[in-house]
Amino acid sequence: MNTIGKNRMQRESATRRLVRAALLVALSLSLFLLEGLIPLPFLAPGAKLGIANLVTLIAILTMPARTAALIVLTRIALASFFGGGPTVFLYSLAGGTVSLLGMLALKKTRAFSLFAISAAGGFLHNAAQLAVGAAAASTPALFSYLPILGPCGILTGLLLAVCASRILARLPHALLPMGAGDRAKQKGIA
Amino acid sequence: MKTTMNTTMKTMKWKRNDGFLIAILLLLSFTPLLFLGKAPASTYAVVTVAGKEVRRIPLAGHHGVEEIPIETPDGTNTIRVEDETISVTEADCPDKICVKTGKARNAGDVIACVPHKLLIEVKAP
Repeated sequence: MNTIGKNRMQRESATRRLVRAALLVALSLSLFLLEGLIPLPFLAPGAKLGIANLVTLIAILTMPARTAALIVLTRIALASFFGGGPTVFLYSLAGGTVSLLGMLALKKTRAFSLFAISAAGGFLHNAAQLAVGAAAASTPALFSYLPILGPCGILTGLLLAVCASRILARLPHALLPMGAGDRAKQKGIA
Repeated sequence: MKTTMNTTMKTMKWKRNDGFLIAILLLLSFTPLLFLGKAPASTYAVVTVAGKEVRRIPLAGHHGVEEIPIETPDGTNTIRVEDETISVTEADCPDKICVKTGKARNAGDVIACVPHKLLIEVKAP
């Protein structure tokens, strides 16, 4: 990272960071609710696109780990208020945290691009939910869905990564945190 | 004009490692098939609520339609046994995933209603 980026990060006020995180939570929650309105073919129990995780992915790529974690956890808590309830909350929490931790770890290795990071996130999300289900029902039989749900997670993860890469390439720089680049600075937006 | 996103640029391009990781994950997805293999005929369905078996229904050789209401502490599910298949036709759970799962027929098939802790497993001896 160059010095301009570093300076910007340091100068960025706590309020600004908080507002940006809150906006992303709101965006993520809207996407989650929007997805609930779109009827999708029923493939396997729990299989869905997970477009709310587009925000997760972008947060992981552009923000510090703990901000990304804050955004994801807040989204999950709010989402289960809006519909779902305690069981759904438990499942989302398991899927969300396992996939978040996995993606953060993979990013840290610097060996993978966002495509693999996101695919692994989707896979881990579904695998973790199956694990919780199997534990709740105390039978490994639920894992018979992994051959469907695993590849589903990888596929939706890749799809989200493609979206994220397009979005990150076009997003106005002022909306992004540090690393947002010099152009916005020159224009005096930031 | 080129975008300069310092933190993300390195992760924006497909890397060779990506393919390896995705291949490994795909392989992992199919490992349950090794452990939960297919079993032959003379199937029966085991209905459990919160881990406790409440009913055992023979499926192989079953003819006709039978509807069985199952009361759980968390709600009610209606199980329908039609010939050699079993399904959940009604449930007062929020997600109705058990209903959408459809008919189970073969050993290894599972219908789960997680909110009610209800599980229907088709098994074979």
